[in-house]
Amino acid sequence: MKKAKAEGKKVRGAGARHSWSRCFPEDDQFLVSLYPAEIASEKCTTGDLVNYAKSLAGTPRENNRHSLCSIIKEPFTYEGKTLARIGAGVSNEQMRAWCIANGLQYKASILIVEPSFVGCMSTNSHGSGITTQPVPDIVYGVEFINCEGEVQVIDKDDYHHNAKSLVQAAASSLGLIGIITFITVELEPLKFAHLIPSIKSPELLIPKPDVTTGPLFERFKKAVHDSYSNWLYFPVEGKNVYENNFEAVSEIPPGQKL
Amino acid sequence: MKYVEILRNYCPQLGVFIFSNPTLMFSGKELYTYYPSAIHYFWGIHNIRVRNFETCFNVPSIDGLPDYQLLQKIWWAAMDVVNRNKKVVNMVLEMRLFKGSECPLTLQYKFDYVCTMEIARVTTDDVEPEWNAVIEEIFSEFGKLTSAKDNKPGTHIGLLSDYPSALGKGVARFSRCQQAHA
Repeated sequence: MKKAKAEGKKVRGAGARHSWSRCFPEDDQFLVSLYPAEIASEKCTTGDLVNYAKSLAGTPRENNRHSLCSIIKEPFTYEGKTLARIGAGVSNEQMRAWCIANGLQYKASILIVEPSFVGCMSTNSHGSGITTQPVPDIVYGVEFINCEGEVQVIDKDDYHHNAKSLVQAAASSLGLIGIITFITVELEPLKFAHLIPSIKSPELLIPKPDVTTGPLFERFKKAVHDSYSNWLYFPVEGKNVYENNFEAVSEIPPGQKL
Repeated sequence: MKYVEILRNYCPQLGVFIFSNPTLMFSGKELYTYYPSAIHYFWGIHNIRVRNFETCFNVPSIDGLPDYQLLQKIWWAAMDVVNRNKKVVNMVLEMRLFKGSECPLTLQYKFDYVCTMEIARVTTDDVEPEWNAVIEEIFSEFGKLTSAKDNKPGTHIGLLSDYPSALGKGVARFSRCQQAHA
């Protein structure tokens, strides 16, 4: 950032694997990726990313061979909240594996695993589920390098500066505040998902607007209030709606397996 | 979900997203998996080139519950248009729901509930004029939708994004919708 400022250039933080917009840097400017070089490269496959996640799962993060920003610090408790400090180079696949290994979870994030968790936060990504909010809403603190090249840290406990709204603004900043290096997120105890995916005729899963009572409408209401709600329709198939909902449960019933 | 885990870990090169979609593989079966695995069930999606269009609705709360009828209207409005244009929209129509955000720069800031409707086509050939016509048609239908809470058409579309075009194009369409239904 300091070099860019001295040379009058722009710095753009690179996203990974999920953008259909033409977000390219201009020539002769700076592009920063916080993924390791082999993951950030053009030829990265999902397999590379899975191996990347495996290389970090269950090992001390401080001593890994990747960059500082790939660190997930061990979870800690502060005023009754379970928090974890996550580097900007940590992918969703890593977060998924790490959360399962540590008995923790977050309620909502995007469906795909390749982008970084911090990237999902700063682009205001969302998941699904009527009780869940977009990713920036679970953020507790943000650390970033501002346009002067200085490290700034804000967290929600700094009430002297109305920090809660500052964190909310920084977490949803769309890349405008600088290069985010770490965030602290609030996590909750790990649960299980109970799925009964179904493929049925559209009228059976999502009743027509004039149907506002009856068993089909009650079923739809229940589906809306599931922990996760997702309906898909493939026009080429053209017959059915694919309902991919699930309910969060604390324990798996006896006789059932993962 | 054991098979999904095997695919995810040992056959990542098969990571085309439909293989990881539980509805396609396990319809009607009862399954349990870890919560984080259940929400992160897509992978390899960047290998699919699509034209994508996502609309984000502000679904008002009525007596503390989402306006179910508006959700039904959104789904059926989109599905009717897609069914009339199957040659152009050949990929997917997808609806998701969540709660509004408290973060000021999110698109869903201070919404009660949010419904997103995503429509995508595979870009194997150039049908740009036809695609734009479909977007206009869907957008026109969405603009007519009303909630029982206020009964004003065109007031519940929070965002319309149209990839890979610039965001401005979508915003322009949104503004036109508001003018048309003002």
